[in-house]
Amino acid sequence: MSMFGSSTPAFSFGGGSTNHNPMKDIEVASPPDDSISCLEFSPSTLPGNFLIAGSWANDIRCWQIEDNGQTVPKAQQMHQGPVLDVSWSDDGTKVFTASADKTAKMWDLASNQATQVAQHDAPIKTCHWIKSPTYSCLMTGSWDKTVKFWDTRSPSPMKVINLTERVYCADVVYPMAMVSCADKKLVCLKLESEPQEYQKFESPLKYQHRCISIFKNKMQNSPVGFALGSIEGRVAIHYIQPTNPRDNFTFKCHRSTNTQPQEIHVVNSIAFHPTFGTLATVGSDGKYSFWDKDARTKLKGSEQLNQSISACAISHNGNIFAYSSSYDWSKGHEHYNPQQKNYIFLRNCADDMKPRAKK
Amino acid sequence: MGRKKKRPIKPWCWYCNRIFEDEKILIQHQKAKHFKCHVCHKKLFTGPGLAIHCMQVHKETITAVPNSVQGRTDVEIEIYGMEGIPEKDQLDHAKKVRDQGGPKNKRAKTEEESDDDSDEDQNMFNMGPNMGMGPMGMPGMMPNMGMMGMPMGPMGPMGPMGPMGPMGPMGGPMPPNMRWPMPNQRMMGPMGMMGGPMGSMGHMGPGNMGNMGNMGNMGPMGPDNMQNMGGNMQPPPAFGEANPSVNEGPPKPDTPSDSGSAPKPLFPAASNIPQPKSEEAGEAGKSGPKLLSSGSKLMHPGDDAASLEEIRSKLDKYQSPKPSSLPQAPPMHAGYRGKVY
Repeated sequence: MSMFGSSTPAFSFGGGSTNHNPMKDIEVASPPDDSISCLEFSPSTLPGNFLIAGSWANDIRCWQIEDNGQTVPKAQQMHQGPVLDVSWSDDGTKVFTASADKTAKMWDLASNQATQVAQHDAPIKTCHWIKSPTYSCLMTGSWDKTVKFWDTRSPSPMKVINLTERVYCADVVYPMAMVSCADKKLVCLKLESEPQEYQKFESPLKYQHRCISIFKNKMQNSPVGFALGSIEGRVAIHYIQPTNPRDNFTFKCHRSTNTQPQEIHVVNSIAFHPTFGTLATVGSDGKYSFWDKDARTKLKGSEQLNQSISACAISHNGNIFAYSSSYDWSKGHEHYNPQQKNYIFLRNCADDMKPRAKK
Repeated sequence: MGRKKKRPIKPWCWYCNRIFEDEKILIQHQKAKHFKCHVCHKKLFTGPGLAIHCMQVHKETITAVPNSVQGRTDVEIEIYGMEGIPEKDQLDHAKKVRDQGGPKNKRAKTEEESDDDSDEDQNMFNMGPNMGMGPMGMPGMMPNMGMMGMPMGPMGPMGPMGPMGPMGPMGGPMPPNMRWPMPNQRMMGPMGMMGGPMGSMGHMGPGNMGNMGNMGNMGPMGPDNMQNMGGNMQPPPAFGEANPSVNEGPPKPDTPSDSGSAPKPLFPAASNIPQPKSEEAGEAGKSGPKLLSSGSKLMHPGDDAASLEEIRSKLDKYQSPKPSSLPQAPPMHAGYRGKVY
C-alpha cells in the first residue's frame, strides 16, 4: 500500500514528546470531529474493504479502503447522540449503529437510508448482528441493564434478557455471544435456535471490564473463548471449556514502564486476527500491541501516539489493522481538548500479527 | 505420639477471646466477624489484608478490627487462626484457661500426658506457654499449612503487594514457631522444614498452594520425620538464626521470654508491608487517576463504578438535544444509575 496523505515528521526518540503518527501508518481521510468510539471492517461477503467508524460527534462514517491504501469517504449518517457501537450485517448491505440517544438504527448502504430498529431506556452501548441458519436479529446491550434482540422488521424486541447491571461490552461470533456488565458479571449465550443464556462466569479480572472479543480455535474454526480487557491494563484470556485450568490466564498490558508512579492504562479494545488467532489490543497509553495468546508472547508493540487509541479493527482478510487516535476520557474532563484532531490509521498487519513460530 | 499435648487447649480468637472447638471454625469466625469489610462484606484473611482492601477498594482507612475487644483492635497485627498471636497474649490466655479449667478434665489430661511422655512432651509443653496453644501447635499448624496454602491462592493475584504479600501471613506464624523450637531440637525439625520451603514459596505465588498442601500432609509427624527434615534445616536463610540455636539442644523451659525477645524476622516485615501500601493508597482519594499499592496509578477518572463513556456522556455537550418520546431534561440519566461525577 502506498503511503499518501500522511505528513508525519520523523518521530522523536526523546521519549518526552510523541507525535500523532509515530508508526507512519496510513491516515484515513476526513476523520470524524470528535472521539471515535468504534471501528469495524466490512465482512468477506463484500468485495474489497469498507471501514465504518462511529464517533462522539454523533456520526457514523464509511470509507472504502482501496488496495493501494487510498481511503475514500463514501457516506455518513447521524444519530441524536454519540455513537457507541457499530455492526455490519452478514451480507455487507447494512450497518447497524447504537447510540447514547437510546436507539439503534439500521443503515441501508445502498439507499443511504437509516431507520430506527431498536429502543432502550438508556444509552445503547453495544450492538451486534446475529445471523443464524434459522433467524437473524440485532443484539443490543444497554446501560438500562438489558440485552435485547430485535428482528428488524418489528418494533418490539423478540427477546429480552434482564441483567443485574449495565452492559459494558459484548461480542458475537456465531453461535456464541458474550456479554459483560458493570458488576463484572460475564454471561455466555448460545445462539443456535434462539439466543439463550448458556453459562455465567466469574470474572478473571479484578477491575471494571471494558472490552471483550471472542476467539475461535484454529482447527474447527468455532468460538471457544474470549479475551477480556479491563481498565487496569490487563487482558484475560478465558476458554469457555478449558481442557486445563491453566489454559486461562491474564497478562498485563498498556502500562508505562518509564514513569514513576507506573501508569496503568485502560484497554479500550481487543481485536482478533481472523486467521492467525493472534490479537491486537489498544489502550489509553496511545499504543497498540499485537499478542500471540498461544505462545503467550507479545509480537509487537507500537511507539506511543500523542493521544489514546480508542478503538481498533482488523479487516476480514486479516491484512489491515485500523486504529483510532482519540481522547477516551481516561484522564477525565480536564484533559479533553475539543480542538485536538482525531485520526484513524491503517496498517498492514499481515506480517506483524503472524503467530510466533513454535521452537 | 503426635496428638497428645496440643489437643486439650482449644483454639481461641485473639480479637475477642472466644474459644472454639477447632481451628477451622476459629478461622471462619475471624473471617466473618473480624476480617469482613463493612462496606462490601468481602471476607479477607487477615487484619492487615482487610485494611488494605478498604483502602484500595473503598478508599477508607480502618483503625480498628471490627468486633474486637479492648486492647485487641490492632489492624496491623497479622493473626490467622492461632498464628501470629503475640506470646504475651498466649501466655495470658493459657493462664486464664488453666485457671478456669481447673475443675474440668482438661487440666488433668494435660498433666497426665506430660507425665507420660519424656523430653519431647516436655518440649511441647514448653511450647505450650509460649504458643498459648502449645499442644495444639503442631497438629494445629499442619492443617493450617494446608489451609494457608488455599488462601494463598486467591491472594496470589494481589500482585501489587509484591512477593512479600503472600509471605506475610505465612511469615507471621512461622517465626514464632521457629524461635520456640530453638530450645527444642526435635521440634525444630518439622518447623524448620515448613519454614524453609515456605520462605521460598512466598515468591512463587500460586505455587504456594502445592507446597502448602504437602505441608499439610506432613501433619502427624513423628521423630522419624524430624530426622529427615532436620537435614533440611540448613537452606532456609530467613530462619538462619534458628540454625545455630538448634545446636543448643537442651530445652529451656524457663526461657520462653528469652526466645520471645529474639527478633521475629518475617513477622515485623509482614506487618510493615501493609503500612506503606495503605499510605500510598491513601493518597489516591481525588477524582484524578487512582493510586494503587506499590506506587502505580490507574488512568481512570472518578471511581470505577462508572465507565469512561458514562462519565463522558454526562457532559452537556453530549446530551441529546431534540426531545423524543422521553422527557429530555437529563436524557442520559433516565433509567440508569451512573455515579455522579
